Parts: sequence; C-alpha cells; structure tokens
Amino acid sequence: MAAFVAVEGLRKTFGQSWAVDDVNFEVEEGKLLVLLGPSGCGKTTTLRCVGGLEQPEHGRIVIDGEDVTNAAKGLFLQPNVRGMGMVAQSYAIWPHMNVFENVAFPLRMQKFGKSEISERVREALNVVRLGELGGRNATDLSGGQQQRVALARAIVGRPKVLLFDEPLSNLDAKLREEMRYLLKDIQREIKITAIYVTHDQAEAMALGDELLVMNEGRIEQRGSAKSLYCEPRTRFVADFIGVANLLEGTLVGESANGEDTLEVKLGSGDTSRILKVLRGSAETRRDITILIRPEWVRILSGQPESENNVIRGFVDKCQYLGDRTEVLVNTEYLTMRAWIDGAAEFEDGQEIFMEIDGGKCIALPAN
Amino acid sequence: MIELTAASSSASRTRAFFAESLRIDKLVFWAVVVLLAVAILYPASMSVYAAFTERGSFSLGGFGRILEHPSVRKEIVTTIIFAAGATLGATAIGVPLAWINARTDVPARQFLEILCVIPLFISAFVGAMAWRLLLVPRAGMLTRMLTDWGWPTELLPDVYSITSMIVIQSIFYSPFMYLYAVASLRQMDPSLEEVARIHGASLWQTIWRITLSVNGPALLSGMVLVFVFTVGTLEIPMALGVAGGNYVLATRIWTLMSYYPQDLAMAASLGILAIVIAGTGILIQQRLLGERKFTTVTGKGYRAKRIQLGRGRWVAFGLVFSYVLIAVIAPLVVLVLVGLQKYWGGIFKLDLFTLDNFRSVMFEYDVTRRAIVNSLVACSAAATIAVFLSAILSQTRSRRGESLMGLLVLLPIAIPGAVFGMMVLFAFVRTPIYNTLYIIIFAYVIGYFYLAYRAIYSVRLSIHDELEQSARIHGATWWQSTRKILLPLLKPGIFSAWLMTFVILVREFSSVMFLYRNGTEVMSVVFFLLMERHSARLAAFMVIQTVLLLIVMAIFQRISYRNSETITV
Repeated sequence: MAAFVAVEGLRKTFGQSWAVDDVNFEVEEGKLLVLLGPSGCGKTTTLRCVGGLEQPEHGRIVIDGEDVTNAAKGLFLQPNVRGMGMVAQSYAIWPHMNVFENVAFPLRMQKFGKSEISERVREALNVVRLGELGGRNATDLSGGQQQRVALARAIVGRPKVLLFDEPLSNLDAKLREEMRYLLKDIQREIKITAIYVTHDQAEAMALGDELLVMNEGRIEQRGSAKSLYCEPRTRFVADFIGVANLLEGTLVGESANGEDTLEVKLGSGDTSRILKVLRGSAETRRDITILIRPEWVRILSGQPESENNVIRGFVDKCQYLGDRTEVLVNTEYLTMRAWIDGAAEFEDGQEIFMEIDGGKCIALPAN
Repeated sequence: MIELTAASSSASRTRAFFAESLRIDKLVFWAVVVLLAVAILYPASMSVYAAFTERGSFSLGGFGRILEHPSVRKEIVTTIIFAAGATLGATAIGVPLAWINARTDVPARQFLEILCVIPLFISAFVGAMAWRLLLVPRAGMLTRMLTDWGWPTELLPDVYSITSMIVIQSIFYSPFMYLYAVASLRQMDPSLEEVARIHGASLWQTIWRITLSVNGPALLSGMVLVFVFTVGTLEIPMALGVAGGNYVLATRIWTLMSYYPQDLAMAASLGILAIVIAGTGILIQQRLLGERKFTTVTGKGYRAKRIQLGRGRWVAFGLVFSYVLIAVIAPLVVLVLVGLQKYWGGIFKLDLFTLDNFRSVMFEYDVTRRAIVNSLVACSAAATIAVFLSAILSQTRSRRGESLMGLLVLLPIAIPGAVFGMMVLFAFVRTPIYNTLYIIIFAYVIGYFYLAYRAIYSVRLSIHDELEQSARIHGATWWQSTRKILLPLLKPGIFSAWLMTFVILVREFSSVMFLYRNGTEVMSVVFFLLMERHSARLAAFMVIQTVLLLIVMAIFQRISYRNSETITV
C-alpha cells in the first residue's frame, strides 16, 4: 500500500542545534505510528512539522498525495488547510465554550449546517463514550473526560491524519491505561491514520502498529514493539525500551555451524567467561556489547554443570514486586538485574549463578 | 516536689490556653481590617451626609440644583462618552500591543516591552500638557511643522476637543490594558490556539474566537479599571477639557468645591452620581462575565511558541514603536525643548537656550522646591504605610479574612479618584489634619492601598504555607516565624511593591487636587498651578518629575525582573 503520510529529509533547527535532523518515515493509511523517545529527542517537533505548527528548514511532507510542506520549493501550507485533527498534551479544551461547542468547532470552521453539526458532534461524543455531556461546561470535567472531549474534537471533522502529542501524560497511571485501550479501540473503529508522540514505552508498545524510536533528532530504529524489544539495533534502543543489562565484551569466535551466533568473552584472566549469543546487528569487530534482559536470566540452584553462558555473582538486593521478584546481582562486570517469576528469597551476599538464555540475548555494536 | 511540678504544668497550660485563644496574629489582622474599614467608610458616609444636608438639616437641594444647572446634564453625557471612549481606546491600543509583545516574534521585543509600560510612569497630566505644546493652534510645535509643510489648517486636530481628550486619555491609560492583557496572554496555554489552527481556524479566526475570548475575563477587568479611573480623573479634563469648555463630572465637582461660591451639597450629589456611573460600568462587566469566571488553563510542557509574522514583524514593530513615539518620546522631547527655552514660541531657537528654568524650579522658586520635598515625604510615607499594612494583612490564612480584604481593597477602586479626594476633604475639613500633609498621606494610603496589597499578596501566595508552618512546628512563635521566615522571603516583593506604589502616588493628581493648601502642594499640584502661567518652567518641572519617576522605574524593573526569576525557578 502506498504511503498516506510521507516525511522526507525533515530538518529543523532551534537556535544552534538540529532539533530534527534528517528524519524520514511513512505511515500507511489507517495505521498508527508512534514516535517514541526521551524528552528533547525531536519527536514533538517532528509531529508539529507534520501539523504545520513548525516550519522546517529542509524536507518535504506529503499527505494523501499532496505536498503540505516542501522546503525546496518554499511551500508551506498553513495548519488550518491541512485537514488534520490533534489531541494536545494539555487537552487544550477552550474554557469559554461548553463541551458541545468545543467539539463543534472544527465543523463550524468547515461551515457545516446546523443539523449536521449537532448530528456529528453527538456521534463523536458517543465514540468517546461521553454521549450525554454535551451541555456541560468543559472546564468542570475531570482530566480523563477533558481528554475525551479533546479526542472527540479531533475526530469530528474526519481529518486525514490524527496527531497525538503525549495525550495521556497528564493522567494518572490507572486512567492512562484505561484511555490507552479506548484510544486503540477508537483508532481501529474509525480506521484513521494517526501519528502518536510519547515518551512512555509501555504506551508506545501497546498502541503502535509501528514504532519509531528517536534520539537527538534522529531516528534510531523503526519496527514493531516486539522487534524493538528483542532485536534492538543500538545500545540506545536497548536501553530505552525495557530494562537492559548491557555487558561489554570482546569477540572470540563466530558460530561455525550456520547458526547466527557469536562467542563473546567477558572480562579477562581468571574471571573471564565465554557467552554464546545471537549475532543481531553487531559488526564482527573486536568490541561487542551484549544485551541481557532481566527475564532472559535463570538463577540456578546450586553449582552449574558447565561454565557456558553462566555468570557468577552475589546477591546485592532483592525486592518482591508481586508478579515477580527483582534481584540485583553484583558480578565481576556490572551489577545486573534479574527477574524471577513470583516470589523468591535470597540472602544478601549469597553467591548465585545465572544462566543466560543464548537464544535471546543479543549482541549489539559497542560504542 | 510533686505539687510544684503540677502547679507549673497547670500554669503553662493556662498560658498556652491564652496564647491559643488570643492568637496574636489574628488580633493584629482584625485590628488592621477594622482600621481600614473605618478609613474607607467614614469619608464615604461623611460625603453622603453632605449630599443630603444643607445648613444642618436634611435637604435634596444638591440634587435639585443638578437638574436646574444649565450645563451639568451635558457634562454627565460628556463624562460617559469620555469614559466609555477612553476604555475602548485604551483596549484598542493596549491589547494589540500586548499581543504583539507576548505572542509574536516582533524584533527587539525586550526593549519594546519596557517602553510600552513607561506611560504608566508618566503622569497623564504631563502627557496631556506635552501634547498641548505640540498641537496647540498656531504655537504648537507639530502644528507649526505641519502648516509649514502645507497641511491645511482646518484639518489640524483640535487638541481641546472631546475626541482629543479621549485619544490622549486612551494613550496614557492603555498600559493598564496592556499589563492585564500581557499577563493573561502569557498565562494562556498556547496549545489552545494551536489546536484551533489545526482544526481549521485561520490566524484571524483564532485570534478572534480563541485568544480574545479566552482572555476575555482579564480584558474586562482591565477595561472596568480604565473606565472607573477615567470617570474620576482630573488630569486630562483639567489639562485639555477646561480650556476647551468640555467639563466632565470630575472637573465640575472640583469647581464646585474650589471656587466661590462653593456648593458642597451639589458637589457631593454629583459625587454619588459619578459613583453610580462607575458602578454601572462594573455591573456591565459582571453581567458580561456572567458564568464565564473561568481561570485561564495554564499549559505545561511545550514552551510557548511565538507566532511567526514573517515580513509582518516589521509592521508590528512599527506599530509598537509608533505608540512609544506618541506616548513617550514625543512628549519628553517637547518638554525638554520647551524647558530649555527662555520662552516658547512654537519652535526651538538656539539663541533662546537657557538652563534658568531648571535652576529656578529646583533651587529658587519656593513653591516648586517645597513641592519636591512634599512629594518625596508624603509619597514615601504613604508607600511605607501601605506596604507595611499589606504585609501584615497578606499573612492571614483565613478564607473569610481574605474575601473580606478583597472587598475592602476593591472598594476604593470603585470610587472615582476625584470623588475620593472630595470624600476625604469632607471627612477631615473640621479636624486639625486639614491643611497638613497628613490628609494627603491619608488619601494616598487609602486610595492606593490596593496596589501595594495586590503586589504583596501575589508574592505571598507564591510562598508555601509549609515554610512558615515548619518554623512554627520547630518552636518559633508567630512573631519569630514572621520575622525570620516570612519577611526575608517577602523582602524583594515588598521592595518592588513599595517602588510601584511610590511611583503611582507621585503622579497622583485627581484626589490630591482637593486636599492641598498653601504650603502642602505636591509636584502634580504645582503642574496645575503653573499651567497657565509659565509654560517653560512647567515643562522643566515636568521633566524633573518624569526623570525622577523613570529612575525609580528603572530600579523597579531591575528588582522585579530578578524577583520574578527567583520566584519561578
């Protein structure tokens, strides 16, 4: 399917530095793309460029086959003619209008008739499960309700693209999760193309058909939630998504028997260990970083049978988190986190052996 | 031994009981509240009494003579036109300036922001006199320049007309609108506008339907303030209105009080009428506000992005700069030029250059010398008292106390300045403080108390209760925690409130015109005394006052700038 939204070579400066530095991506029609990254990574600026709230210095943005921004040609369409909907971080509910008027605004701007406006506002309010609140004063609503009003307002004009700028970050944890499901339902229900900005990886993984991880104005990696978690291509992505133990080592061998694995040596002398892990995106140079997720570790009871893929350590701390127990383990290389399902008890300082899953742990390019 | 400890513990319990029930902080608070209430209500009731009394008995003669008077009915209409016109004018000037400075990428913004509030520190009387010097028929500097360039005489603006009064009043009171609008616009979440843009509104639709509407309540507050000020101002009506035969209520009241034959009952009745007009303005505001007493939703997260005006930014710069030119630069230039001449003939002549005017008003002429001292003494005394009382009052944590204070503080704002001056005169005319500077200090404190109170109250709000409470928990008495915790934190706020109040008092004109006597003239009064006598000396004296105020303002800017930084961090 052809790209519905295409961003090519987007660059935008703030002062001296590039806030967005050569960003390229497409979104297919009806899909939701999440831009994920830490604050200041350029994700919000990218979104605002798509919406026309920022004018980039370079690059081209195409929506539904039409150029809305083309820096080379000096083309920049104003936001109001781009046919977008937006949900802002602060909800941005207009305090001088009631719920109905807030939602009706995009339709009034498009000069719809009175009956059609009330029809479509009611429809939009029903979609966000706020059916009966039209006459209420918008600022009397709770945060979650305000956010739904903002969502109804964004979809009521049937925009080509829906923009979400960290819409859930002002809600408390429980409500956030609830809204996440609602958003997913609604986006599927009305099959709208959407770009969603967040710094919350759980939100990103739950919502996105596709995720784009950004860092320092550039795209680090693009892919599904699973591929970003299990096969990150950079240290940054490995560290930003989920919890990561990152061990530095040196390459000692590649698998001979066709499996795509590497043998990596940790440490030196007496304490050195060889780990066999997936090749991933590591270049076969001397220095290698290995990603070990906390749940890719098994704590052995007693002495290990072999030294392969086993790391020795001492329990530093141990905390029970309900669904799992997190163990902090001091090793020769670094303090590692390991997760064990359910409850488990260790004494502080106890010697343990951790077997790491060579079929999951993955090599990354070293810095 | 056992008895002894029991006795001492019961004594300490008794002491604790008394300390708790007396609550010295509450006592001080209520004492000040009562004092202020009396200070406001006593003059008010005295002037109501005066309105209904003649020769010691009840009478409606004052009101009757309003109806009989040949011109007062016209003057009431003029007052309403003047006040309403100036309110709209100040809004039309102040709000766009605020929008340009607060929301767009206009060049040299910081510079313009300072310049836009300078008219607040120049007396409107000074501004009006300067424009009179520029535009007076034949001898005006601008009039002469324009006629020399062949501008037809009949198209020259008449500086004494009501239109000119409204325009000049608008120019010099627009900083109030500007300040209200700037504060409100800065607080507004910019995504309110951005979301409107995204959902199909053009820039102008966004400004009209979102920006102005969202900031509506703040703008209405500013408008009602300008309206009440204008109803009660003597500045422009004295400087331009009287000469042009355009009397308003304030000038009529002043004339009735000051010239023989006095008519106190009629003056007091007109005072009540002026309050009714001002009150109607407040009522209209409340009606328009209606349910919409919403607070601006403040945004977090994305920093306010300034609207890119492209090439239009130079147009915006031109607009702001021409305001500064009209309200600040042109008046000051003409005053300096006139002040440096032996006599003024409409243009600056090098062979008439002299420093005598400045020398004489500062060192020789006794009225002006006295006025400088009187102004400095009265204004700093009043500012100190107002700030001190505000600091005490801002301490209260009781809701009832706060709302009561809100009312007490608002009351004098609703009384037009000239009417307030008249009230104070009625209150003290038969007391020893009449004829002294004390009556002027009293009027300053009560009439402008809200300035100091609001400034300090807002700083007080930014200081968390916990800071004080933890001092109390760690054993400090009320006085200790006030002195060691609260006052040091309030200090920058107190200082800038003092400076602000001082400046506004120095330029105060409308109420002090009722209260000065021979020997207690303050600077603004002397402007009036010199007005028709010696324009060169007047100009020199106005320059001196303006320079004094600008110096204080510069200090204020520095302090409040640093202050606001420490508060927001």
